[in-house]
Amino acid sequence: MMKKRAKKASARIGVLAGAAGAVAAFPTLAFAEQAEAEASSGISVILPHMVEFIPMLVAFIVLAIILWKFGWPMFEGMLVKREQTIKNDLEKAERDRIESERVLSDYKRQLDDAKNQAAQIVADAKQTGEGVRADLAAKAKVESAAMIEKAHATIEADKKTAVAELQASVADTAVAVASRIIGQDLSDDEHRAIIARYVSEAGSFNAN
Amino acid sequence: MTEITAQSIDELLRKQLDSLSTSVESRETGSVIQVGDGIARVDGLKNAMAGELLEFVGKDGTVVYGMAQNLEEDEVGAVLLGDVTAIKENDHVRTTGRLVEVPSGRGMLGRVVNPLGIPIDGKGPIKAEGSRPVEFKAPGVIYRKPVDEPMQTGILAVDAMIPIGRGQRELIIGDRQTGKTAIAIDAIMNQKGKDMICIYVAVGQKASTVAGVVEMLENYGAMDYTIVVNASASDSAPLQYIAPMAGAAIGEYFVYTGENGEKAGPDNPGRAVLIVYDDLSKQAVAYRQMSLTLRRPPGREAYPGDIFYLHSRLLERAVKMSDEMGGGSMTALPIIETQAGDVSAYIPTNVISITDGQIYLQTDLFFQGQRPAVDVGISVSRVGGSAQVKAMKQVAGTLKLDLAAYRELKAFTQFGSDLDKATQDQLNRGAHMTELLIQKRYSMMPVMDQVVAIYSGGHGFLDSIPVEDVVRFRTELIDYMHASKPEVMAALEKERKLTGDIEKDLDAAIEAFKNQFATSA
Amino acid sequence: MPTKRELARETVATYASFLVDGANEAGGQQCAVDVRNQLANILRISRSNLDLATALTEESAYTPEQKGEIVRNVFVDANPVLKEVLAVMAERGDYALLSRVWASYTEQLEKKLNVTVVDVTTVVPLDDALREQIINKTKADLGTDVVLNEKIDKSIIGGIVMSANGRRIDASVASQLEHARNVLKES
Repeated sequence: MMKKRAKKASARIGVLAGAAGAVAAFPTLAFAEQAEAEASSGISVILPHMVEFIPMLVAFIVLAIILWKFGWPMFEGMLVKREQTIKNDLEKAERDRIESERVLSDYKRQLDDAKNQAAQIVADAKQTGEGVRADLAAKAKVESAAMIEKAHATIEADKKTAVAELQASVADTAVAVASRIIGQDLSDDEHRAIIARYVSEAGSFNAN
Repeated sequence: MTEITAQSIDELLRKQLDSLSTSVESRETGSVIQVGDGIARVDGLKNAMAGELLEFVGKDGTVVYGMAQNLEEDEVGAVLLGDVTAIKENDHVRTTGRLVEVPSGRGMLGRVVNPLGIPIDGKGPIKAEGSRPVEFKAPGVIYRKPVDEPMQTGILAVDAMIPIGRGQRELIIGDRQTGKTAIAIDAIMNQKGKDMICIYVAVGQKASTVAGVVEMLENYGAMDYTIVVNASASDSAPLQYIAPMAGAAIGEYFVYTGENGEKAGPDNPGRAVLIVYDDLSKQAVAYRQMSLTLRRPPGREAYPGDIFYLHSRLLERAVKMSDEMGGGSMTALPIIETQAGDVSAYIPTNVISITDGQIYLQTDLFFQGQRPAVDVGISVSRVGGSAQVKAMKQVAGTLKLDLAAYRELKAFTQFGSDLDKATQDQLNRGAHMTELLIQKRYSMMPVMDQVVAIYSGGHGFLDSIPVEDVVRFRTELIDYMHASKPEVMAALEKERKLTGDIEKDLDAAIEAFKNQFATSA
Repeated sequence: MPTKRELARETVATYASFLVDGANEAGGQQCAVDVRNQLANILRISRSNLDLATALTEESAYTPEQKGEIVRNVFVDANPVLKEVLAVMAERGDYALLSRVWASYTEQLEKKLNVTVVDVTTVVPLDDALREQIINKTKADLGTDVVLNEKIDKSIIGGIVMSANGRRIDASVASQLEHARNVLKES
């Protein structure tokens, strides 16, 4: 599209230059007309004098050539650049719009996620809290049960110890009494009778 | 419920009276030539056996037990296992025809006993299921099978890099005050609910220390499955000497008999036992004292010549039984205390060479705040790897490599030159991994939690976290995983290994947690 | 070449056989038994009296003559043969072998004189019927002649304790009661 427009512009300029060329190609006719105008006094006022006309023409042509050669490309570059800029801006705007839409949707989604997550966390926390509470309760129960059991065991052990001690002391007393009776109250003959019985009951020296 | 009534006691006494026999047999009797330092030289007793239980009868009829040790031409050297002061010269000594035995059984769980199995916790008498000889020859090759089940300690550094299997003997070695006992106690506590019977043998320790340990175990509920055998510093050297063997014997009862009290077999499984000997250097010292007073010739560092055999036969009793024998196991964690980190002393080298690996604890690490102060560079486990959980094996591989590379680089970077990115990353990773292994006392981690923790480190999730936040990150991550991603943990627990799906889930979960993790700085 | 232990054994046997023969010549079996009982007592005293034991060891500061003198003065009531042998042992620095000499002496007594001494402890003196019962029983057990060495000890409360050749039958009431006490204490 750009190129077409540039071509059209150059074509238009070409037409202008052609017209200028045509004027320069027929100076004599122009002077003739001028002279005729001078003569007729009315028209000659607007007709250039030949003396001015030639250098002007030359200068015009030179200027036209210079402009054609140097000015035009600059002008055209500017146009192209501007065209480009506008086009870019348009594209960028389009892109930004799409991007912003995407971001918006992202944000929306994240927000939703966050909301969900928050709800989840709250639910989790609730659940965990309840779990912990149940755990603690269960643990406390188990612990107290264990404590009670331990206490029972300790009491039982203490009782057993007491019984054992009592039994021992009864045994001690019984034996002490027995030894005193045997040692003091037995007559010599009774002692001898015991000895005789023990000797007859005793095992052999050779037994292992 | 026990009733304390005159009748019940009367009944008990009558029952016992019925079982009273009055027959008198001749007994081989000797007399004490000399007594002192817990040692008695006894005249006579020509038929005494080595290790036989002897009865010393004191003047007022008190019986003190002893163990025959030196059998000589015309006398027997015996060690006294009780009240040494009750025995004088010329007292009678009887043989019993039995080797020294200790009672054992479920009734002992939760109790503190002395090396003869007599309760010393004031909780009354113990009803024993059976008894085992203190000296017992370890089972041979065909009764055993290789270690194939893990024995988790709950300590990240140990379970990841120095895995222990059931039936293994893993030495814990280090200077005083480096947390040797702490590791063992943590290991015992971590056996809660794992159907493991634990035995803690305290040799030559302060009674207050042992009381502290027992209280700790009780508070944690670990005494329910634990037996404490205590020969404190005030007990005689012979008692300290037999304490580890007595503990082993108590444990062997559970390994070799099933729940019904019968011999363990294919359909009567033996139980799994964890035994801690705390510590064997004190037992060696007690044995040295005993041997010197028995006039056995001293060897290196004045230890008797058979000190190696003493420890090797004790630790050889740790066992993983074959399935035909019930598949029971006894895992031993002997502890050795070194002096100023010198592991080349006599006893440490001996025990190192006997055990299936060792956990070294270093004083420097301990004071740098690296607790447990396990030096993972020189600690090894020679057999435990085959018993490790697959998932742990997968993550621990990278951990080991990372730490090894870290140590190597760290040594180089001491010279302080500029480091390239890769090196810095490596150092950073190592620092984080080292920090990851820090663990407080009594905070054991289940193995799958450990896997998650190490996974997060090994896959670089920790690298951007400040080092001082790593432990908090680890703790909170585990909580998060259990609270918010139980399905991932369940899958991991089910598969016991890291599959592609689980890894993906883990990555996502850890990433999610990391995003909401607030660093302290 | 004989080892140190074998030499010691020979020395012990020499002392013991000299004692047996000497006592036997001096007063027959009764004397030999007396010597045995005295020797048992001396052994007990030597073990429980630390001063005496240390004075007579090889390492003590006394000269051999002094050691001999000590023995002669301490055991002044002992059988002359026994006293001399003990003095010689002390002088030669062999006093530590006393318990082995005692063991060897009882052995040789049994071998040479076919006699075993049974120590009998009771609370009341034995009468002849009891003596005969005990001798018959122990004779059957031991297969040698038996001589009783009677001792009264109230602390056994009642019953009898017999011992011979390092074996002991403790049928005393004291030990029976002790046993009963232990059984009763068990639960």
